[in-house]
Amino acid sequence: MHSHEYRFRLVEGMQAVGGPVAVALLWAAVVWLGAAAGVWPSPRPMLDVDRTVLIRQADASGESSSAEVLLIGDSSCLMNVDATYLTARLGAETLNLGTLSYLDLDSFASLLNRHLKSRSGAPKTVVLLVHPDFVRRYTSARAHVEAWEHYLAGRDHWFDGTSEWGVRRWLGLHIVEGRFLGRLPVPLEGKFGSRYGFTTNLYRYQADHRGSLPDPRTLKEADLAGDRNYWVAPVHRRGAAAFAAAVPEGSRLLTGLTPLPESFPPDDFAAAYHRLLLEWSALFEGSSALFGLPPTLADERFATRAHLRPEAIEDYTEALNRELVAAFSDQDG
Amino acid sequence: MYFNSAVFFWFLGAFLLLHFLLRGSLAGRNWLIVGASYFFYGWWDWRFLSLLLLSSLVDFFVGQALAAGKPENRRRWLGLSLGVNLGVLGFFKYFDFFSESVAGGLEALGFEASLPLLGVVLPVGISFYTFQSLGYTIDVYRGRLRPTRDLGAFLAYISFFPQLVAGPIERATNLLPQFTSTRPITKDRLEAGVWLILWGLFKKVVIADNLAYLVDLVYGDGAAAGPIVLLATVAFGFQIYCDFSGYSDIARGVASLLGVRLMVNFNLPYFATSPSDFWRRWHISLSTWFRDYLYIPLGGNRCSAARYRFNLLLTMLLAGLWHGAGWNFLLWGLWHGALLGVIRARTPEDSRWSKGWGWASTMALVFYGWLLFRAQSLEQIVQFTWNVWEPAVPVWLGSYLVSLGLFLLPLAVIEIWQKLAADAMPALQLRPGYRWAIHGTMLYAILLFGETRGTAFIYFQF
Repeated sequence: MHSHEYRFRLVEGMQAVGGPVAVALLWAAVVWLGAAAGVWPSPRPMLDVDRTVLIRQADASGESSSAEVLLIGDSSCLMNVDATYLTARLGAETLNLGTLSYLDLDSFASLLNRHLKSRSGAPKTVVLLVHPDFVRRYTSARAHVEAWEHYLAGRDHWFDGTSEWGVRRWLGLHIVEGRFLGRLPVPLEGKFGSRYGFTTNLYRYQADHRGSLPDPRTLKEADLAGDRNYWVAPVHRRGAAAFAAAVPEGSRLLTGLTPLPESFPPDDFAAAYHRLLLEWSALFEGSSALFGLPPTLADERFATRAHLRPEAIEDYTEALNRELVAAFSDQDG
Repeated sequence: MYFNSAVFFWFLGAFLLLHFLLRGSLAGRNWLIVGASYFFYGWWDWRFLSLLLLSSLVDFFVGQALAAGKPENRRRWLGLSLGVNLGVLGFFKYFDFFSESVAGGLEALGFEASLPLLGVVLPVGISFYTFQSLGYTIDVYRGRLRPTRDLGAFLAYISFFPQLVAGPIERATNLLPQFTSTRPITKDRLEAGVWLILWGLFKKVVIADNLAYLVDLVYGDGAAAGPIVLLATVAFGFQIYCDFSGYSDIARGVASLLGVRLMVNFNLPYFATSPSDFWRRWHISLSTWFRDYLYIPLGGNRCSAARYRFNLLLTMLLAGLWHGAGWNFLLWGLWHGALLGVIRARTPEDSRWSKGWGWASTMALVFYGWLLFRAQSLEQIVQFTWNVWEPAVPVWLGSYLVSLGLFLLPLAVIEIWQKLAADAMPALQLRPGYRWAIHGTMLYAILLFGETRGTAFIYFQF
């Protein structure tokens, strides 16, 4: 390649560029080999709010517990109910295993099964609490479900959706992220960052608050856009059967729907809510529905369409408390 | 098209191939650079290519006119160049700011004022290429440079894509001659290019982008108080340094692959032991531009003490305003003008204590300046200045310290190495195996933290 402009040999050019590339590939090989040989720590990709909550709830479900009331559900269960307050009001230990991501009922069933294996005896009550948006949704988020399944299986997580992910996986970057970076404090973005700081602090907060996690955001106009009609998506039928089957004998399954901002649904929503809950509850064999929970609340009490603001949580938890007390007295009676 | 995006490396690969195929044809290569640079710039918004072309053509023909025209018309030609360049810059960058400020001032005085706002988009890099183009005209006017008649070389000089949108702001005396003569690409330049690109990307992708999260955590929260404000300001000082010096390094690295030498823009600024030392090390291409084209013509320091301080204040105020149309940038410029005026440059003293004190006090003052620069409003400046003394400690302070320390560690290691070796590229002195190990490790870290679509550089907004 000698010319009056290129004053180096081809091999020197190849070395200048190829040398670093070869070393980077060597790193990839070391990472893969270390993972295959079990040298590295196990995967624990606490890299954002979603995955931190998933991992925290998976860990909590695997810990020994004597909780009498088990709350399971979507993010509205996680963020709208204060399990510590409920424990004090019910006089019965309560654990919130609600998750933030778009998981499905099969995932909730696996969470419940995992919890039951790690404890002695069955909880008195299992409360499945989801938002009406969950009920009408036809699909779960594959990335979230896979993240959940991979973590429970102790496998490195990657989302096989884009070519970028393919290259990252090939280079073993997901292994470094999941096994090393995920163990370090990762700053959270936006309001979650201002409120909770880092992933490690978020994890600790949930551990200290029986799994519950208030949403620090404020309702935006965009949260109130979208379809205002609700129905039960047939896709839940199979997952509901799996979930109902996971509830142990001697435990009671209660199903409930969390509220919507009052300006969002049509005016006659109370009746529609009743029908929706009836139909939803019917999917879960042997369950009872919590009809006394409020279908809507004032808009200013919401952080998003599904989550309440922190100052509204106590009132809502109190409403749930009344429903549970009534359900317990029915049971006892 | 960000330097840290996958599409840039596809673009660069294709460009290097065409550049190789055009070896032996200087004019062909210059026009290739012009075409590629306009493509690169148009990737953001093709409409603003007209401004780049206008600025370039005006200064090209003004340069010709200054050399060939009548001596009595020289000032008019210079005035035309200044008018067009600063007019375009002022219109796009400052119109709304001044309109809002005047309206605010009138309202404060009790008058009802509703002045028009244009709401125009700021063309990326306009402050950089405008100053580079103006510098050429002024140098020709002063007789320090013979105007070029080679339009291809001139357009390549103004639009050279590695430094077009965020500098270094090159001098025509350095860069233009490189487009009118053969640019040899040696093994040393190739290796320097690889180091500069990798170290620049590492600073941007691994350090700056991660520090940005730490900074936003505090600056995005109006109620932050206590030592966390101090830590976030330190984080921002390093974020902006790694972001901007990272860009400059990548620009110099890419240029080096083409046989072009760009000026050094940063020289370990956080080792500075006085404010004037800091400005000899920070954004050197801008500080020397203001020194040569504004501060010295104003009289520099060869005048009364009061006039000298006025010159410094005015120069730094305009340097602050150059960064952006905002009161915080003005304050930042004034702050540095005041520091330079008050703490006059002294001859270096040998004692370690005085150097240590000089370094510590300079850093404290420079980092307070970053609070002025980063704050989102004047209220936040006041609030953070007072809140920093409050005893509030967030529960996540420990996590913050761990995170900050982890990302600053590699920077500290490399910069101390550079300082001790008195060499900006110390890895190049190592045997090939060690060099590749360092380069390869940096590459792996860049891939680990990078996003294929890239993230914006802070200085693009200026």
